[in-house]
Amino acid sequence: MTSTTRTVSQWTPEQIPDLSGRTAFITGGNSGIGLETARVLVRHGATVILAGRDQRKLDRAADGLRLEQPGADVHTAVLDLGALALIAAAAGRLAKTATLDMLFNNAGVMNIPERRTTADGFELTFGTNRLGHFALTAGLLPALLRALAARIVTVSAIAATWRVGRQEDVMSQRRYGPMRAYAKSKRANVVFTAELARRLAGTNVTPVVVHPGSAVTNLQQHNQSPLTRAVIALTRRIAMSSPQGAAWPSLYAATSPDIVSGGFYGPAGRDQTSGTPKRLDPSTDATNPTEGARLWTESERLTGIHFLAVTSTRPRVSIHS
Amino acid sequence: MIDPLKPFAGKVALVTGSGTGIGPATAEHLAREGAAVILVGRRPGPLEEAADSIRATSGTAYPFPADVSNPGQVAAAVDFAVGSGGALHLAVNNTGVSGGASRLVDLDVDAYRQVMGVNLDAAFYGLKYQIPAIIVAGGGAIVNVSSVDADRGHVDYTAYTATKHAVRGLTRAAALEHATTGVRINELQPGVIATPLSRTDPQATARAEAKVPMGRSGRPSGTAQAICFLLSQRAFYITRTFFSVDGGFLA
Repeated sequence: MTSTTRTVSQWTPEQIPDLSGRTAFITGGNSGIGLETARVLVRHGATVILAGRDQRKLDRAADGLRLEQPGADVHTAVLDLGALALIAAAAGRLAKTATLDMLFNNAGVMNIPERRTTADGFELTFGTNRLGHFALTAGLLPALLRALAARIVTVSAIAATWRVGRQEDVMSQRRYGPMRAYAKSKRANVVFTAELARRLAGTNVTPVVVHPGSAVTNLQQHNQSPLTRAVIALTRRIAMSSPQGAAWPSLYAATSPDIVSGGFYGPAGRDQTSGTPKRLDPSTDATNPTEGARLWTESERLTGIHFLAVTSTRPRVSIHS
Repeated sequence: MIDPLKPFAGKVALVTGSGTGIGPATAEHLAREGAAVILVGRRPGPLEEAADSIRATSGTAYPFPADVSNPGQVAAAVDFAVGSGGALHLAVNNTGVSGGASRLVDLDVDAYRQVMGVNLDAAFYGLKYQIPAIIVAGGGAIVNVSSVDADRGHVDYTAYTATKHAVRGLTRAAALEHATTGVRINELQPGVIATPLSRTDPQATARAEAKVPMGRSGRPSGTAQAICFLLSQRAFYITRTFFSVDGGFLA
């Protein structure tokens, strides 16, 4: 992620077009980057569905948006990305007849001190950040395919480029490390998006992956050490961008006409931690089709959800790089 | 590798109008060649019979009674296919009613609406809900069944004629929209085929039969084979076209 392939001069959310009649589904929509994404989308007229685990937190976030912007069309959906059955139930209701223009695979957990598992027995970080969103994308795809032009924005992180993220033991069964597991899940989000773009080539659905830079959100809440907390508190004031700025790459990826399917977008500022969004070169083998196919097969095997099978009928269009 | 005897092995197919006529014949053919088939139709009795006859030859069949002129029920049928079969790869939109012989000026508005609902709306709802499911499955094919009346004005059957012309337009536009998504969409145009629909007006059928160059009416099984060809991998470069099975009728 060292070289820049395209610079967008001075993009701000003010450039987002009118989104009246368009609907967005946002995981982790009740706080942090998800809520900020929802706030800006609503300001531009979109209908938003905030998804999260806790109905009370969702209601509070939705009420907040309605208070700030009278007439805001805000809905909530209880969703636990750590339980495949609940994902299927939440997606099933929408997938039947609804039309969805934007899906933000935004929710994430990080820095879980000890190895824990989801309801389905997956390592919690990879299970939630990657496999939960694999299942959700599969479940909501029919609704996205009904839109004239839909976007799937999957949120990754700078951690996607860390070497430890390249390990094959996705369930961290041999060795668990909190940030190692996080890096694996976030790198897998880049691999997934590139593969999804290959499998959706020719359709109306454009998948994009973003990293928000370094934002202070509830994600860091699992940091236990007082020292870590002190460092974050300090960094927060000096360097880290707020959720406002951190939502820009997601908003850009979802609404800019100038988006490449499967592309990786992030802040253009120094060290890629803040600034106007731009397209980045992952500079890793994360977009390699062989690795994409391997992750896809592994995700299908683990979740038991099979979708977008590669058939000879589908034209194999390679994504531009 | 595709097994030449079971070219549809592993595929899930949905066939509307599966109670009588071309529908069950198509469902049977698909099942014989390896597909799991969802039989959709209005009346549960004939559907169960058709499903039983497929099961009797070790095929996989799921009957799903639904009124295809109702969009919610069409969506539910697709949902049922994905739920019970795991995916949807193939669909045949095959419902049709004639509305009865009547001059346009005498045609009852309710009868007109019914013909529109069953012949045209059902095809639209079918495409609307089948296409996303088929893309999710990784691609497949759809056949919309029309009639020789897609190419001629049929006196006393104006509503029927209008719907069959419309099915061609629907097929063409939808096929172009999905030329790159791995969903092929074609029209099968039957001529005079011995089905309950052709028996609703035996005199008209006899007159039509007399005009068939091959001198007789067709059988549902022959039409089914043509539909299955369009659905099969052998037709992989064929989309937005129409295919007549009419014994030379339109010549």
